[in-house]
Amino acid sequence: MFQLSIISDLLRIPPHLFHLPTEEAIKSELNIKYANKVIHKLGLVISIWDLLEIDDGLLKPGDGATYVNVRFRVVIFKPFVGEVLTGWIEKCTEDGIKVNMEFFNDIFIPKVYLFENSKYSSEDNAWIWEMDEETKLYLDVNEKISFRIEGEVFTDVKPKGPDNTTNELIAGGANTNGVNGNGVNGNSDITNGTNDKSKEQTPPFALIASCQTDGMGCCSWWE
Amino acid sequence: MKIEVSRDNLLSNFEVYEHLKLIQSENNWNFTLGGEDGKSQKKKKRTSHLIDLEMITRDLSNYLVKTGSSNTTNVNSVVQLMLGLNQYSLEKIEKLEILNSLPRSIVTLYSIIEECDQRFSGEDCEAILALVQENFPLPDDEQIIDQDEGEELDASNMDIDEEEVQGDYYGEDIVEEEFEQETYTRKTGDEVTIED
Repeated sequence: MFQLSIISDLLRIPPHLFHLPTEEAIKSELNIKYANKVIHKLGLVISIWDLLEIDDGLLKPGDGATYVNVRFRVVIFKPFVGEVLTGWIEKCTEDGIKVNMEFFNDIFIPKVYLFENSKYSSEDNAWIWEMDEETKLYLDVNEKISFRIEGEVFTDVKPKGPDNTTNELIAGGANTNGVNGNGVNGNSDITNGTNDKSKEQTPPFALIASCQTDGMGCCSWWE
Repeated sequence: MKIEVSRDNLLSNFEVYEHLKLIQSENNWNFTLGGEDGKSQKKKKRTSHLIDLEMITRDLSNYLVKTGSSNTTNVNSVVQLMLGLNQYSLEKIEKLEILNSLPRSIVTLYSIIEECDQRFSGEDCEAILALVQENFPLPDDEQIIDQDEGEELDASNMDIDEEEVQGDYYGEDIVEEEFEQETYTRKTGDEVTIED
């Protein structure tokens, strides 16, 4: 589920951090830049693990900050294909089931990857697995569910240009996180969840899962 | 930014959780790991620039505690489990998955190990399950948890569901085992820390 990746980057250390020990300042700047963000084609960054190499700082005329080349390791959330994970059902729709893992919410189980003989019932707002003629098993919202990862989808979310509607100004704050240079795409919109706009957006990193073999589905079925 | 090595090493949930605990203590955040949001959040001025890190630390550690099927997480049991699993011809990734999900039944074990029925005999599977159970005993089992492992249970590792169960336990224990001072104090100790 988690892995370490080595990344190198040129990092700007602003003058107000000069009083801190170098390592501390770099770690904190790196965490601001990377934590809880999706790196394209890699995965979701949890936090910085450790620093491997710190070069001497470089100066740039007209700027009080130093620029430091660092090599460091980060903890990445990137499940491999075939891995079994657990989460909670967030939403059932006719197309499939959306699963929530608290820190990561973009997991989708399409209906073709559900158990055979599964049906969606709009009255119950649940998927029902008709195992045989008598047994019906329900996949309800908020059930704890096991699923197998089938694939990952990365979308390069480009930073949006300025939008001058008043709504945008009021909604403010949260959305501006999406604008982030250097290929690190903002993910905080997704974690905030409450924002209507973010729901329409395609997530930068999504997982496709399946739920059709023994041991998958609600955890309570197999205990 | 340049990705030099995309997969340098794999990490187990346990290692990530330990790392999160470290981050949390370094930054003095008030939320208790695994618990609901801290009540004492007002006390500390929020360092808003690390808000992303704080959010992911809180959510992820909540998740890890909720899904973790054992309360006893210490380095020793992880090492013991790995040494035990090395006897079997398991892939590295399969061992990692066993450690992460701690299977308790044949079905869950089969779902983790590919072609389990062809590669391992029934006895082997049972032995793997026993190994998991031995090193990571189920917390709310009727079986009595070993005394020393019991002491390592602390509020931060408590499952939320278990909180409810604990109440019943508590009552029963007093009636049946009033004289067993040690168990009694331990259970009360837990009670207090949870309510904290």
